[in-house]
Amino acid sequence: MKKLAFYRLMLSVWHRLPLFILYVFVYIIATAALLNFVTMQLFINLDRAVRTPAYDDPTRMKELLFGLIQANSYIYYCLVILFLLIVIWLISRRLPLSLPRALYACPSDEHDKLRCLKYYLLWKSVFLLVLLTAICTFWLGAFLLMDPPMLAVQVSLTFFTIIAFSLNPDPGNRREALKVCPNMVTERSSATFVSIYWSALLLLENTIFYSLLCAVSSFTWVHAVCWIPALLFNIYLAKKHITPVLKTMLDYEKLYFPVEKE
Amino acid sequence: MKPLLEISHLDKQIGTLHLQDISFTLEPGYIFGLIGRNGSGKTSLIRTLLNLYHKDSGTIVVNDYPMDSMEHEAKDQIGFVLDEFIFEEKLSISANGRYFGSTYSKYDHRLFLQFCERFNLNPKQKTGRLSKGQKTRFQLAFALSHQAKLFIMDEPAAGLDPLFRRELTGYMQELVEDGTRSVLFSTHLTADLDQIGDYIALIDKGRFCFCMDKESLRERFVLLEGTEEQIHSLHSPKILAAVHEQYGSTALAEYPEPSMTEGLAVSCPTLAELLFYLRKGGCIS
Repeated sequence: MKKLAFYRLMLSVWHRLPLFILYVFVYIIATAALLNFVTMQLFINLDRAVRTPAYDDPTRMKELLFGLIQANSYIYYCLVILFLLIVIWLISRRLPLSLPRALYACPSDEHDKLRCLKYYLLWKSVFLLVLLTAICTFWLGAFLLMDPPMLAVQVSLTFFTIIAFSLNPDPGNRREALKVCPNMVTERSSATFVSIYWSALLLLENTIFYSLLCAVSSFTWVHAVCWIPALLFNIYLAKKHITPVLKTMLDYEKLYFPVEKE
Repeated sequence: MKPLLEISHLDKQIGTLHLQDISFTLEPGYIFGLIGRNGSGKTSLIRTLLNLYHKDSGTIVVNDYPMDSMEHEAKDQIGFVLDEFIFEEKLSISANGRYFGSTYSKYDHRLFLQFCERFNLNPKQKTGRLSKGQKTRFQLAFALSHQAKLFIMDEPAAGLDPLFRRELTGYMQELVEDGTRSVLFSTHLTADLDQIGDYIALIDKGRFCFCMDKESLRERFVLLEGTEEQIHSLHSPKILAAVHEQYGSTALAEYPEPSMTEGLAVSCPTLAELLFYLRKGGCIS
């Protein structure tokens, strides 16, 4: 089951590779443009403050820019990561959780099917995490923050964000069934909650966290402790919704609605 | 001998189709044919038997294993050939066999490869690139490789050439020869069923119109041919349909009395003729 889940994920990634490359390319261009704009704005402000134009002195310019970037590193970090999380979310939407259809007819019970889904979820989460780390490292030189209090909050937020983003089940033939027989299509409240509300909440938490890094002069364990309620709430949501979302995949009839042939 | 398949009062609502009170048994060594027009419920019944659709009520028992409580054991007895190909199209034949075969207790991968060779299948080929006939052969090879007792086939010959259909009916007869296995297959090609079906069930709008062995079917329905006046004069509730054509008239009778058949040519209808007359008589849609 582990190997099958891995192969299926890799095949899905391979099948959509050109699209993912396009996402990453657009992201790099967009963030480069944005970072450039931010740097210019910061430099203009700095230039006014210093009151010494440095345009004729390349060495001076370099020193000022370098100092500027170092002093505002968390702003760049914040922007890169937040936009990257959106790209990761987009990529995740294209890799829905699914079971091989043959498993529904083969002798595998609920336990076996859930195990297969959990393996797929695991591989998908690992893939998204590796992708996040790789792109971040490419842009910023590192992904993980060095400071222990920041690292603790970052790891927990990233963990739950990846899980929430990964929990998008295969819609089967819902779209087609909605057109042909809308009264047969049933609601999936857990899947909807996770894909919209929990994901949005985590994006908000990430935005607040990375913004805080820019705003406060030092992030201490006191600041980290304030994140415990958010962590507990995320644990509660994970416990409440992971299994129900996975279980929506166990019902073949509700996934592949029997649309009448014409 | 204990039946391989026992269905009792099966009920299932699927959209506008309602499978109602389906009951039958299938002993080892027989071929059970399920006929009906498109949309009559054949595929829905087969999917319900495989527990792809959860039944609303009734029982399904496969080789003494109830599907409700022992789904794993029940499905271990079943080999399936479905109209809709559900295996992984991006994996090779061999990989599909290995991965899904591991869910069966008696799967033998070497045996699977032998059947692939017999059916002219290249194990390294991706299943998405197979033709419809090859996909059917693949499913059959897979079903034969885990010592299935009950073979369930959903329109296995649909859209295939007559040569392959003949091959397939040959495989089915081979399967049941030893008397330990059975085949249940659905089709709207009645010629296949005429040839090999031991039991025949006609399903219409989710209900069985009849479900009986071929001999009993022959005794139940007969065609009476004669002149228009002769056929017109047959007033009986046992006359299900009457068709008047330029060169003669024909009536379909159910358990006709000897007095009804006097002076008329009596013959056994083929399944195609039976369906035609039943439809003409308004007995089926």
